[in-house]
Amino acid sequence: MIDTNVMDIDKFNLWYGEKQALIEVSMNVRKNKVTALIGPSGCGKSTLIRCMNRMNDLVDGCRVEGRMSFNGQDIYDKSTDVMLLRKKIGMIFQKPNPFPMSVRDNITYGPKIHGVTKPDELDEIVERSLRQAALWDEVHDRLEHSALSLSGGQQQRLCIARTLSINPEVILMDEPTSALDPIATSKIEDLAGELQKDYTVVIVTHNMQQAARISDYTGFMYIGRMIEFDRTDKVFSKPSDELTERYITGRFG
Amino acid sequence: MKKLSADIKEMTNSITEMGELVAEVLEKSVNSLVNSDVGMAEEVIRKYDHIAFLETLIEDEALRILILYQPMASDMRFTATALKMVTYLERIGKYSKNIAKAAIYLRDRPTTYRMIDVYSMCDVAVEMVRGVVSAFENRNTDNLQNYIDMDDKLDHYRVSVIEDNVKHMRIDPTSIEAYTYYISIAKYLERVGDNACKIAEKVIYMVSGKRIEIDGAVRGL
Repeated sequence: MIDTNVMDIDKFNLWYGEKQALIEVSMNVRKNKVTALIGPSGCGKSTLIRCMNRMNDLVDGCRVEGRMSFNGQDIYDKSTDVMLLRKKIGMIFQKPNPFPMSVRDNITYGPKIHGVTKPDELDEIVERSLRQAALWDEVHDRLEHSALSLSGGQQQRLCIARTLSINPEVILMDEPTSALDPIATSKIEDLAGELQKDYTVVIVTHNMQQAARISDYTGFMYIGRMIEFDRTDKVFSKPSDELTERYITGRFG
Repeated sequence: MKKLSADIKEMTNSITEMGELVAEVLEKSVNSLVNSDVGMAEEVIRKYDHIAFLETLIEDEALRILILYQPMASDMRFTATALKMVTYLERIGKYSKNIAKAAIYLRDRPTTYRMIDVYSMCDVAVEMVRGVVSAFENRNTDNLQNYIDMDDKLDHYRVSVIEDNVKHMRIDPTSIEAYTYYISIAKYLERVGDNACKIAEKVIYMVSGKRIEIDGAVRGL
C-alpha cells in the first residue's frame, strides 16, 4: 500500500511577534500512521502541532508563512472554516481537561453542537467513542457520574473519546501521557496504536522510548527547524543527522 | 549519560580483552597440536572456562545497559553487537578447546600426516579473529575488506585436509581414527572463520548501521 499524505507541510515559518519559532519546516503526515515529534523543550514541536488545527490563531502577534495543507486544502487560506478544520483535526493536551459535567455529556457535547439531537444516535456515539478510547468497560455503569471523578488516565481517555465523538480524521496529541502514571501511559500508547486503523495520529512527546514504541514516522526538531524526518526505526537505529544522534543518545549540549 | 559512555568504554575494553584471549587460545590450541604439547593443550582447556565466564559476565553487563539506559542509535547498535559478539567469541573458544582435546588424544597416536594445511588454516583463522576484535575496538572496518577471500581460503584448505587424510586412511587403515580427528580439526578451524565473519557483519552494523552479508555484498564496502 502506498502511503497517502493527510497533511503536507512545506517551508512553513511562524513568528510570535518578533521571535521566529518555526523555520522552514517541511514534513508530511501519512494517513493511518502515527507520526511523532521529538526535540528538546522550546524546539517548536508543540508550536508545530498547534498550527495543524490553527490553535495558534488564539495567540496574539502570531504570524505564519509557507504552506500547510490538509487533504490538499490550505489550512491557512482565508476561506478555510476553522470550526470544520478543528472538527476534522482533534487535539489532546498534556493535562486531561474534561468538561466539569457527566461522562456522557462530555461525549455528547460536540455532536450536539454539530446538530445531532436524537437520543438513540447520541447513545450510540457515546458507546462507540468510549469503546474506541478503551474506556467503555470501566465507565459504562457510571456515565452520569462527573468526569472529574475519574482517574487521570481515565480522564485522558475520556478526552480522546470526546475527540472521537465528532469523527475526526486526525488526532493531535501534545504530550498526552506526561501527567500520567506508567499504567495509564501504557493504555494511551496501546490506544494510539489501535486508533491508527481508523485515524491518523500526530503525537508530541518528550519520551523518546514512547516515540520509538508507538510511531511509524518521527520528526526531530531543534530550535525551530525540522532536523530530521524519517521512518521511526531508521531515526532510532541509524539517524542521518549528527544532531539527531546526539539528542537521542543523550549527548546533547 | 556520562555514565553510559563510561559503561560502553568499559565494555569495549572487556570485549577486546576477551577477544584477545580467544585469539591467543586458538593459536595455542594449534601449537599444542603441532608440537604435541599436552601442557599447552591443558592451558587452552583451562582458559576456555574463563572465556565462558567472560561471556556470561559481559552478557549480563549488556543486559544491564539495556535495562538502565534503553540505548538508542549508535549506543543501541553497540550494545546489540556486544551481545552477539560474546556468543561468537565463546564458540571460537569452544572450537579451540576441541582442538586442544584432539591434540591430547593425537599425542599418543603418531601418524604420517603432515599438518601443513592445518597450520595454514590456523594462521588465517587467528588473523581473522584478531582483525574483527581490533575493528570492534577501533570502530573501524577498513581491515574487514578481504574477509570473503580469507573465508574462501579456509574452505579450500579444509577440502585439501580432507583429501589428504582420506589418502592416508587408504594407505594406513590402522590409524583411521586419528585421521578423522584431523578432518574434525579442519572443520573447527573453518567454523572459526565463519564465526569471525559473523562478528565482522555485526561490527559493520555497529559502525555503519548497514546490514551486510560477508559472503555477499561485503565487497561493496
